[in-house]
Amino acid sequence: MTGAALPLLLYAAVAVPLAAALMSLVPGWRHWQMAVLPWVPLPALLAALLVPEGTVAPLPGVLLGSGLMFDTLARLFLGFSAFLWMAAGAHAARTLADRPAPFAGFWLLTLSGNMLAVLAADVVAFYMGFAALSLAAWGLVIHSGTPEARRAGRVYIRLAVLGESLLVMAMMLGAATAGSVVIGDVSAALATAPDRGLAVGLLIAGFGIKAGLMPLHVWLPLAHPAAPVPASAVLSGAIVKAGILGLLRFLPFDAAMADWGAVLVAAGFFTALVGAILGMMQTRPKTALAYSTLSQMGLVCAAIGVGLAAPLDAGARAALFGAVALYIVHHGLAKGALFLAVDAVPAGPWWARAAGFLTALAIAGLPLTGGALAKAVLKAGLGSGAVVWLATFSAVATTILMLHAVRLIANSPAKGAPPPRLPFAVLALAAPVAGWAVASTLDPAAAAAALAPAKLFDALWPVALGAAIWAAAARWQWRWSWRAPEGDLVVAYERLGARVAALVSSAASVRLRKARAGRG
Amino acid sequence: MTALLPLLILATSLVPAVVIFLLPDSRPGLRVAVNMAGALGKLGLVGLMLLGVAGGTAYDLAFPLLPGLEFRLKIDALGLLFLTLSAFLWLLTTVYAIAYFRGTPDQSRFFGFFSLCVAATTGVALSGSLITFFIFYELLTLSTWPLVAHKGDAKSIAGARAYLAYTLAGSVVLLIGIVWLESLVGPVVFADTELLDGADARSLVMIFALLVLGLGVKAALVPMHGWLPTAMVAPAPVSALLHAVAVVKAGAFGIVRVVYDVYGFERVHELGVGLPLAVLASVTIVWGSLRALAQVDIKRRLAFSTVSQVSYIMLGAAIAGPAATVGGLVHLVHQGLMKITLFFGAGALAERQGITRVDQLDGAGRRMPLTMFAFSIAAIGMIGVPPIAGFVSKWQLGVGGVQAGDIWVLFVLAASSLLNAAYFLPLIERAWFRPSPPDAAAPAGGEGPPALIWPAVVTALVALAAGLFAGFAFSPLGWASMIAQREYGL
Repeated sequence: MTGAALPLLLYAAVAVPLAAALMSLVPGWRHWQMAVLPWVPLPALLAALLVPEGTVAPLPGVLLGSGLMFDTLARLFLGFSAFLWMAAGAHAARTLADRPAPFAGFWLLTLSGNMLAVLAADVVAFYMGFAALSLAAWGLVIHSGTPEARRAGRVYIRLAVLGESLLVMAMMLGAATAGSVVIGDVSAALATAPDRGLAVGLLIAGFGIKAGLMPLHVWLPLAHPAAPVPASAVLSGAIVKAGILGLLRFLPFDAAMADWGAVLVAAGFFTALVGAILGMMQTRPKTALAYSTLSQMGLVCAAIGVGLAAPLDAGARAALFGAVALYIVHHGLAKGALFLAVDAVPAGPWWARAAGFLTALAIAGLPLTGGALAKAVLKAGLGSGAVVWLATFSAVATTILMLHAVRLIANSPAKGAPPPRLPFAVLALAAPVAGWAVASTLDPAAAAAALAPAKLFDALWPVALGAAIWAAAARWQWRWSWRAPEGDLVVAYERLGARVAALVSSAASVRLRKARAGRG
Repeated sequence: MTALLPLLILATSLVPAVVIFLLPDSRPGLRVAVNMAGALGKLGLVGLMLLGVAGGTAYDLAFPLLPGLEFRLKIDALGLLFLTLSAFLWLLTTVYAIAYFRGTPDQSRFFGFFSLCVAATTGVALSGSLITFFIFYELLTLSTWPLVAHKGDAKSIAGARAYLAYTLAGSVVLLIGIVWLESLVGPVVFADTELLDGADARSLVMIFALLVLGLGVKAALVPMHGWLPTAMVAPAPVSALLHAVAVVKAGAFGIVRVVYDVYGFERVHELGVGLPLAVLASVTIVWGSLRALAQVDIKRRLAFSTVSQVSYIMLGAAIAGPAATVGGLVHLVHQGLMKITLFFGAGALAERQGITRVDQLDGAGRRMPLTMFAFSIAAIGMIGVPPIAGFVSKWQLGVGGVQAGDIWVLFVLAASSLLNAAYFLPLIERAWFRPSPPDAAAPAGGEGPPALIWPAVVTALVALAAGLFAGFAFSPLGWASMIAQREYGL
């Protein structure tokens, strides 16, 4: 492929899923829709592998002057997302073929939004991609039409729309201050803007909703069990990660924002620890996995918060981005594999069960896995002090949670028809491979250092402790005296929302009655 | 020829009006031909005018009506923006109305007043002075009243009476303001803002209030918006025209003219009347959306949504940032496109399926897919999701607010988006994600006659294109930016 043609791959990465989504509107295309799902992200994967960094693909005249760009972060996010979408698409093509519409349309629209958000060079295109992936995923959540799915959809869409509103405010603020819509300009302008406190707060809240940061996380534990298995895989594996990408792209790391940095660190660790504990209380595998996702993302947010609190120069910033990207790549693939395992492992062959356990332990940080590497790099970025102990504590909690989740998966009853196992196997294999590959290219020294015996022990003892606690709990039948409901805080939010709505409508009708009485 | 072009454009609506009044109801074919000839002719002449203005020709036509009272037609970029929007949407509404009213009585009366209404709107766009503007503004009131009352039943007559009461009251206030102003500074010609230099500030502030309140009735500013939901008794093509292009837009357009071409941008902020107008517009934005939430009837919900959305235009005019000016101006076009789509869709749903209430929408997406597709695109655009045009206007308004130092504008826009989502998303959810009620069936003979369904699809796609390709110079955004730069030096 010649150099001149490579930017075309960037356009294709977004255009092909979009075209496929539009095709799904055509009635005659119905039976092709699902078959096409696994192949649509292929241009994106090729782009991630082949396109050189620094390529730009302008779209003059589109929106407010738009375009696509390609840097290291874009390559990493594009690569693992495309791979995950392909595997999950293959799974969906087999398991959901009987009810294709309108699932396929929403799937493809979400996918094109994801690709656009990763590749966007300007704020408006990013926002458009983010909006597409948030709003179209609604269709995936409520696909099954059950009352549980409807309630999950309601909570999901309300939080998604709230997130969109907060983000658009932050972006308008940034673009107005910067006088440009290019993402780099906006982020740089935010570092010195007088309103940067407001903007950063809005960004953290808006992207935090997507990444599952407490207390805005309540959609996650509801949406994952309600959505079909492949949709949950991409929700946890790719869509949640878009929130993290947004934080990396927009937060002004050049400036020292000690207060918002501290908020992010506190919220991140709170989510990581409380999320893990809530996950341990769950009895359904997909809900446990959902809590584990938000717990892991909490840890990542804490690391980002540490970076935000102090001004970072270019080198430190690259190191932070590298660490986060490595963690995200591994987690995205591994978590996607575990969600597919919900179908693939029960009543399956021994290797499926083994792959499931190993993947779960990799997320927990078992030494020599890509997950351990990612955790080590992230921990290094946290510096020293209390945060390191919190991170270690979270590693113990994660181990217990992941083992609990995988046990729930393994013990669930088998589904009717034999499920596809190849996509699960491919993802489970890809997670450690990608982890090591990314680590070796980004920071070979750290990768080699992680193999040192001292480091190995550092990584091993939290996992061993967690495994011991889990084994003890299983052996002696420890039970929780109280279980949180799925979605925990959502019950409180729903009651609050109902009360506010009643208040507003009664105020509006009271005013009308008074006006009518006055006139009449 | 060039001097006569404004008159010719007026004639393309006036002449069909007269001819149609003379036609009996039993000649539908001839009536359709006259209607379409007028609509297409207007669009063609507007195209000519666009080329002329782009090339730098100025169109100015003045003749005295009475001693001291001049009738002036002038075409500038802002008037042309409004004129193009109304010509394009009039064509589509004509097509839609022909299909909608097929087989009903009193069509000649309807189309006669319909053409008069569009003639009046054209005159509003072409006015070169405040008095000319007032003349056509009144003609608009008088020609739309029979349209609101068209069905002739008790509810329609009552709705039309409320409409007349509100708009005439507004006209009185407007006239007082105009007369006072002209007694101070002489005949007011648009874009001659230096005329007001001699007058004292106190009088100018009070005149501004009178003008805005007078124009605000048609523009549905709170608390003068009461006529709009009541006027929903009118048939769907009337609602579509009223909301998207004729009446409400004329009011908003009038306020924009007052701010930029009578007082001038700088004077408005010197006098300190910008902030009260911005606050009034913001209150309208939020209040309209809150009331829309409470409505169960689809058209009433859309009416309150119009109350809320048209105030974006006034908000843009009131804020001192250049981007806000562009945002307000471009929303004239964007809101027109999206709102007319929603009303076309609501009318088709009512006609073909008897759907008038929100709870009747379950499963409508399967029974009338094209209509609901267009409706969904317009609704999502109203919420402000890119790439549909509504996002572009909101973005410009937000950026303009920040530029002017008014951060609170961001919160108003965000609240408005959330409320819009709250009352539009349930409609989309019902139509696409719920099964149809057991007694509902797809309409016999397909979704509907093409002339009833396709205008909505066309305007929805144009709204999508206006947002997606907003970066091009010939998009509505490009045009609005050009107006802001060329006319107001922003």
